[in-house]
Amino acid sequence: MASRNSRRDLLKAAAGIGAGLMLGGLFPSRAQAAPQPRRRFLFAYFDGGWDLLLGLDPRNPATTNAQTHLIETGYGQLGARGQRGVRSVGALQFGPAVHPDFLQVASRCSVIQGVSMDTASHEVGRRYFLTGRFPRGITAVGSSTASEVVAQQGDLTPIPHLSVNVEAYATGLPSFASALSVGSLTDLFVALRPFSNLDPAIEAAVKSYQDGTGCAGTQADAKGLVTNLQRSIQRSRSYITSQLDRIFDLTRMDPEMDALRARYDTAAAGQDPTAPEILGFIGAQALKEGVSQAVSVRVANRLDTHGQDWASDQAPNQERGWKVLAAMLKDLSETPSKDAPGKTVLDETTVVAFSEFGRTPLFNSIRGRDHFVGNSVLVAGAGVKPGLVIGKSAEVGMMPVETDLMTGQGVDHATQEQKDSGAVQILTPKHVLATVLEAGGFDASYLRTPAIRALLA
Amino acid sequence: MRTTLALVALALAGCTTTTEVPPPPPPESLPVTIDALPPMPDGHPDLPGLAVPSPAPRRLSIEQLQSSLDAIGELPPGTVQLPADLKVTLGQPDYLRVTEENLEPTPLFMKFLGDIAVSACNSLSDYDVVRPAGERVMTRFPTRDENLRFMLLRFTALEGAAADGYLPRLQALYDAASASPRPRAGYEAVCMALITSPEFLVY
Repeated sequence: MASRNSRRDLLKAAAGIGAGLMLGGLFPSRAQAAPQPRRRFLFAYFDGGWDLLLGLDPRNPATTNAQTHLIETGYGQLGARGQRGVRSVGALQFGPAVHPDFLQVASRCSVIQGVSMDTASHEVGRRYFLTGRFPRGITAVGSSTASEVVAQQGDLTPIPHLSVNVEAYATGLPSFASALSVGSLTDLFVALRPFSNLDPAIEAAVKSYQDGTGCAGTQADAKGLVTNLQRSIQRSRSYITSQLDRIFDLTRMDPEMDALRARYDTAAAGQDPTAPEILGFIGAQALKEGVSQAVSVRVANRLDTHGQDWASDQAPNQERGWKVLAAMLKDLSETPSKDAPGKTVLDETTVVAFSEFGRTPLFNSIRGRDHFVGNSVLVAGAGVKPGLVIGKSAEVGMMPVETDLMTGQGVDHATQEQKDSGAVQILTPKHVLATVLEAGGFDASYLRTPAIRALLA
Repeated sequence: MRTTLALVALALAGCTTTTEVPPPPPPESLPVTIDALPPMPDGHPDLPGLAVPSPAPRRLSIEQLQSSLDAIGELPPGTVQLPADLKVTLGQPDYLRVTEENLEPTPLFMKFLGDIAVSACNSLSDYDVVRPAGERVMTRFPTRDENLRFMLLRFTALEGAAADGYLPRLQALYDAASASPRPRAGYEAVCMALITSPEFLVY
């Protein structure tokens, strides 16, 4: 077949190689990756799309108006909460839906603003943030970052990846990297406790049979599915023999559990085993007690407020999530590390709080806010510098603007030269995940995106 | 009730009045010989042959699991119904948050499946003794080995020579579990082992 390469193609290829060389310093090297075995991860998910103006990207209502800035803060519709206005902790600013408890731990955090989600679909945004890869249609591509880190670290804990009311994906990874996905505390107990008092003779006989494989089973193992299945059986047995259920037993009557019930305000959950307070408690316990290396947990829900429920629900539901996250961070920061003297569990844990996207800065016709491609993320803990604001959204309309990856500064009018160099980019979930991975020495090359250097501790 | 009787009567009438027509003979299949593959369009890579790789093995979905348990137990379709919240926990989509079924054999799925196996096999065992001998699943035949082969067939579709290799393992399982004072403990254990086996769960 005749070659159709033109001079233009050659120039493009040369430019690509040149850009690659210039970007060399930005990308992590696979050979250099050395995952830190003690590094833990907490992915806190705010379900439904959070309103950034009430949380991580607030605006001063006195100097912001719809005509000039295409932004309506709406704080006046929130009653007493709205009167909180914008509160600062160092360089960080928080909107009125951020619970006061969170402000006490905010100095440990940094905020990444101006993150572009490239989607206004819940499934796509959520899966993009979970995996760091843009979904195919709405189908997730690749694996959850939590499973990726576990796969790189190794099988070090009883439940390496615990996913609490958050989707989890593990494609082509070792079976131990698959999440134990539970929807509630009830589910977790079902997983950790024996179903019934099965006769020991029957139990032993069945176990013995399950540990072997027949010919047909071996033939079906071409892709490792049968091996995964058998490991899952063995792992589910180990949950029970380890008696992990005690760690999560909120009904325990002892001083330790009394303190935890108070800390997480589990009374606010009522009888709901999926309440944010309960799920937050599960996540923190799993990290503190060495049950898991990575935890994904839904700390807030019902944020998809398109109508008048914005005024009634967005702020309380978001606030509830921030309160739970505050309790988790405080809990982790007050728990001494079992491995490193003088350190706390938070010092060993990288925290990422995210939602699938933001909400429009202008109200729609029924005083609600719709889906918005702009987003912000909160990061804290191991490997990331605290107290920074990385990137920014535009003064008008809040769309993400470019960010200088070395300085972390938002760049309103990036030059073509800056863009071509790759050092100034629109931030995406890939940048955030590449950063937290690289911060722990993990291989992030599969994301094909540079880390935000300014954020690396 | 009256409507049901009328429908039954109609159905019976339909059955009795149907004229029996012999089925048509199967069409003769002609041998297909491929001497050469057609040329590929310009720029398309050459194909090495016509072999199409089969799809990768998959785990049973929740719907398939329920239907399979119905079929194994010779129960009316829809008899086995897992609770709705359990189905979501096991990965079935709720089309609110989850739109695609997770078919990974995760530890949680296998734990739940183990629990389901205990419950289903105990129920099946209790039901077996009150059923006519010809409808039983665990104790249809007079000898142990016949029953083990029959259960293996019902759960996994393995029979004949393909089942031979499984028989010693099932016999050992049966004998070990029979130490339990529970009646039919050996068959219950075989049932539990087969429900959680890859031969049943993976296709």
